[in-house]
Amino acid sequence: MTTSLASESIVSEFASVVGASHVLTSVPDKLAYSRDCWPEGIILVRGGRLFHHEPACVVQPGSEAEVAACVRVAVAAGRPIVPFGAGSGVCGGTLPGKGGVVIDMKRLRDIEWLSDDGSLARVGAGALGIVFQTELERRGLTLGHFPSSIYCSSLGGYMAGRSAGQCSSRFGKMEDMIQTLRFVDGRGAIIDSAPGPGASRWGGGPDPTQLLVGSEGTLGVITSGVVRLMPAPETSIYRGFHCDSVEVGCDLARQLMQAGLRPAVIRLYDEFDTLIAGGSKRGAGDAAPRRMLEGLREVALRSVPDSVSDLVPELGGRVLKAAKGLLGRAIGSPLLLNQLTDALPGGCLMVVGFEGDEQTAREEAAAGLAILRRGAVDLGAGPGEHWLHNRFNVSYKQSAMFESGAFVDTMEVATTWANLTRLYYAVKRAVKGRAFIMAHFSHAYAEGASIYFTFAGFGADTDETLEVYRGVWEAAQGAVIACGASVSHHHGVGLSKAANVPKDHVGGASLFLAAKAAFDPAFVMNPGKVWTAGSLEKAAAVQVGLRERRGRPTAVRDVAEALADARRGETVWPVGAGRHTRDKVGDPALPLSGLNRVLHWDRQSRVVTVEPGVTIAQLTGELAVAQGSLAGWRREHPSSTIGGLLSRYLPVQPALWNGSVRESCIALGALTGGGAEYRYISSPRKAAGPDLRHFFLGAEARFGIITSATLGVSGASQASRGIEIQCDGMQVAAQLVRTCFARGVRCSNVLVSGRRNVVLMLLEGDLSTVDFMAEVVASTARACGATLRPLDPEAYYRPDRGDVRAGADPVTGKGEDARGAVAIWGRPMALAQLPAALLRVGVWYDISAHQASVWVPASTKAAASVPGLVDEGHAVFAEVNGTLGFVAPEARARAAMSEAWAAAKKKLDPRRVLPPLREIREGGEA
Amino acid sequence: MTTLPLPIRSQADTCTYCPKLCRFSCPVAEGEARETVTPWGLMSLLRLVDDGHVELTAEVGEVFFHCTGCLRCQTWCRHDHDLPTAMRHARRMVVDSGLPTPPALRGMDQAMEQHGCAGGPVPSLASAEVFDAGSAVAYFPGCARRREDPEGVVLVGRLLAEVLGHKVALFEGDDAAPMHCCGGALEQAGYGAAADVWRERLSGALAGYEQVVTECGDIDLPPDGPRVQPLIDVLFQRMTSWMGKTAQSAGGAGNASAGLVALHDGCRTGRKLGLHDATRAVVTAALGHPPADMWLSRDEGLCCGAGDHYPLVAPDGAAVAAGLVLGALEDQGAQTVVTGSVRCAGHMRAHGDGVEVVDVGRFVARSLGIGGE
Repeated sequence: MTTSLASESIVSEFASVVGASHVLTSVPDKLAYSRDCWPEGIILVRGGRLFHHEPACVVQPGSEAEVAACVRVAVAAGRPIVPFGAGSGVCGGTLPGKGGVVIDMKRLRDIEWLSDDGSLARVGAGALGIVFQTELERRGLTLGHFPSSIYCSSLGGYMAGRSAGQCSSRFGKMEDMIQTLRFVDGRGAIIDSAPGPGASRWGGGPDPTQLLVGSEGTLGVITSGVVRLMPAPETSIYRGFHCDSVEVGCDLARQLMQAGLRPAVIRLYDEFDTLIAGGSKRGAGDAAPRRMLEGLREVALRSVPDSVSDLVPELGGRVLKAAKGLLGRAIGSPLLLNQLTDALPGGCLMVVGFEGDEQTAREEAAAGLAILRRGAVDLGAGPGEHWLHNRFNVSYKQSAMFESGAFVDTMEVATTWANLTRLYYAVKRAVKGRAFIMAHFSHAYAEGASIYFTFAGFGADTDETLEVYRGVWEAAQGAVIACGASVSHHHGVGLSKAANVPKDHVGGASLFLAAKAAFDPAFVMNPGKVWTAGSLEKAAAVQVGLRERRGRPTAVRDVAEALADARRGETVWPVGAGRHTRDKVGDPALPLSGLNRVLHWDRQSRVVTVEPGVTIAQLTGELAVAQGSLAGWRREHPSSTIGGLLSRYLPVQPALWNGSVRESCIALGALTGGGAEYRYISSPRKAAGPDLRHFFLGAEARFGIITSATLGVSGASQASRGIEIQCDGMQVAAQLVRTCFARGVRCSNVLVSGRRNVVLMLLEGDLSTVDFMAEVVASTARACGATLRPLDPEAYYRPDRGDVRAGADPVTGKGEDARGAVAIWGRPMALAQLPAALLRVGVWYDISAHQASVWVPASTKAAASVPGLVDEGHAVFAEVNGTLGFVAPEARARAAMSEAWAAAKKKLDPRRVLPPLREIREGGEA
Repeated sequence: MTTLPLPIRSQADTCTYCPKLCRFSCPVAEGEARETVTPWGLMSLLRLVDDGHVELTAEVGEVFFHCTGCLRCQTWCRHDHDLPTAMRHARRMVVDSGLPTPPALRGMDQAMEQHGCAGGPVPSLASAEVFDAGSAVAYFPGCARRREDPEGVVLVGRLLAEVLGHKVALFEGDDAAPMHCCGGALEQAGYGAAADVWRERLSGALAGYEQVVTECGDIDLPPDGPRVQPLIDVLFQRMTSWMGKTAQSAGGAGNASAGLVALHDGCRTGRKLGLHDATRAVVTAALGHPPADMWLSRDEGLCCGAGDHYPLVAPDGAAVAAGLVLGALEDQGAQTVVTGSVRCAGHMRAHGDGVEVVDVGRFVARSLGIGGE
């Protein structure tokens, strides 16, 4: 029986903010918000155990201001706050605990604006995925985010959970789709993660976007986000393949991704999942698999020991009901069933899909299918199209399992290719005797992939079911951790996996506490989720042992010692870790060039682990021996260090698939200013809470120093194609480049010369991939009325080119020799509308479908006009002589961000031995 | 031991364990932005009440009235669940338990007895000469038309005369026992037992007619009762008798609606009665060209929130639902929307004036120059 957990005074205070009708305290309301889709909660409800997580009340704010006011009311009353979208999470992330206040975001669901070029949209956190996607499709656009839960999940949930959709191999995960977001933090401050809709970051500190994404409500209530959109694909080509084993299938998937292709979908089902999907060599819907399933159920029923069936009444009926509901998922004797499936005829189904405009889809599919046909049997379009038309149906099947008295759950983990099948078998072994298990591999990247396990089990009553369920999870997650894989790829961690987050973020508790100090100093935001109280209590600074320092650092311990040795008031300036202007003469420089080892090269996964002092030139040479390459990284200066490139501030998040150093980082080691070591476990992507790396990536060593990084690199290029495209003006050039990227072209480098209205593009990689992308570029150029001619790829990188960032003409190498440049970031089509004088002397850089930068020599008159151009409409963000200028932030927001970073700095660099934070000034500068 | 009919209990079980896959389709869930009134919320609550884990109180019972009966959830439910039937049964449980219903619905059983309409007295009709009490064909407008649009009753009467070639009788019961409602309103208000009795009486009262034409989407008479045919179906089956006469095609003013005319698929006429194609054909004939479909149409069409007394139970939620439909229409550039349901037309007119909203009967009448509007 529920009790009244909300005092009248807090209810009336909320009512004064949102209106009485939007404060919910009834029994049915509390019940409805007391659980999400976490199976443990379902088991409890099935057993009649209600109100384990009973909120004090539920409030439904109708605006951002109301959200902020509600947070302040809750904080003042000492009540924990739990943001709630659609409650589709499977990890208990929205469970309010006893007495928490649930803030239901669903009234904030509008598409607030859509950019005129259809590349960005601001959408309320409460919008449901399918409703938003339907609206976009009406306009010929797509977010590209298609989780199985799209019918019942919200944009805010996607952002808070770092979710992934079925097409993530083409469009990325949620963290790749978000430009900026707006949130109310635990202080009740409304904060934009960037000062303008087109800009991506504040200048003063880490990227708050990537800290809030995946925070699952522990740092703030996300109210809206600006997301990157793409044109809706015109053509879809889906197909099925039969692979002899998971090993063969995984290797083919790896080859596909490492060839530079980006299929919308690539999914490999293990043997039993294939059987259920009906994916035999003879195609979908074949009668043989169905007969096999019938036989399997009968065998299972006959084989259940009497001792078990005696304990479980009506086992036969229950088993049959479950089987009927789930195409033969029979349970009762998991060990037996798992053994039976191991003995089944082998063979795995792979579903692959390519989407885009007609030419891109067709040509990319041709390249991809050629790779797959080398190692698998082409089953034709049937299995692929069957999957496509039924892809949202799987979630309908879980009800039957629970109705039968069983439980079913899923676990999504990720790791590198080299570790993938080992992870698969390890988890299967760990779970085998406890529950029935099957899996598919999906969400593929060049470096690795995710495995999506499904397991089903049974217990005689609620308590035994819970015991079995929890035992399965403990065993499964234990196996994941033992394999060094990430405990979550896209479902998030919530409550159910929070205890394991420290394994993904080793030493990360201090970083999370710093984020809390920044945004939730009172610890009211969704407590107990993502990081448990127990994990945070252990966050003592792990001091690396000191020893007498000799010479420059050559190991992490040396760096830690240097930090510890810094005298009071002295700032240590890591060299190669950011563009700093030293404030004081005499402050020690800390050269990191001595940390210059290539630590590990994983050829299969194409990832390399390096120390921060490794240079581009050094890595290029070492990879060449190992048959790898840096491809597009060659645009960086040869003497640039990896640590410097990762620490360098960038005002915009790297574009997806553009091969930047930052985007390639899949693991990180770092040392905070306070001497604590941090390690982000290797995974191509993950959803294990906020991305704590962003206290180091792009943070210019102001919170800590990167000590190692694992990067995805390319294989040795089979082909290299340079293209020079003459355009009729910068508008055409911008449209051409943007269209190429929107069509799926992935080039290793692209520049645009304003002086000559010329686009220089370099395509490198596998021959078939380069060929088809060149065709797409050519057709795009023809459609824009541009003319093409070949460009010598080596000419692109020639050393006498001059610094294009300083405004040198990328073609002739001539031009201004500026040891400083003015740079403007924004949306390509918005930048194309800049004053002609700027466009004439500018060089375009860091270009993607959604953003670009224009670099102008600082000495030109045009450059002087740049600061005045910063305005919200153009969404530009300028850098002038090392000062970053952006949309003048509203004073309260500026103060809130400044205070937040100061609080985080205090936690991570308590003695202030590292470079100070940039000050965010009133005029919008840092 | 369950007290629910087996199909309802089975559906409640399945819904309880579902991750709310149909929730986005529900106008109530969207209108109120509240988990409690998603189809999942309603059905899992019903199950918990049935199991005795949650006591059926007035507060709990009130929740079961938050459903418009639109069946839009069924479009996406792979289990083909029938939520309206389950909710009407749940409401019956509330009433039978002696618990109070939502305030706006209380006393509907008495109003029904007194006025023949659960909503109260109906206005008198002018131009009753349009009808022929001796006709073998009866026109049963339904309470939405009869109570809220008496002028429309006369227009449709004239329309039927034109289409059928003879006048029809207007069925209203008699002075002592007026009958303007099919009984659906009673059932939707929780007075299920009274609704059963009413239907039997109505069936008996209509038994003398060869055919009954109705605009009521909720009518559900016993299977051995008289043949009841929706107006849209009559218009569709007899299109050749009238489409050539539309004032538009004949060069007259007729249905001179400038601008885009869109079609809103009413939940009753569409998802329940399957008249999507018939409605389109009729409106096309009246307009002279096909109307524009809404972006989401037919079985996916949005519900305006008018059904099952929802505007009385949750006026704000119903207004949001109507606003979503009207907003979608305005986004599409529609200046006129034709809807298959009289109730939908009235509800949408009450919540927006950016788009002209007309029901099919009035639209066709206008196209024939009937009514002189």
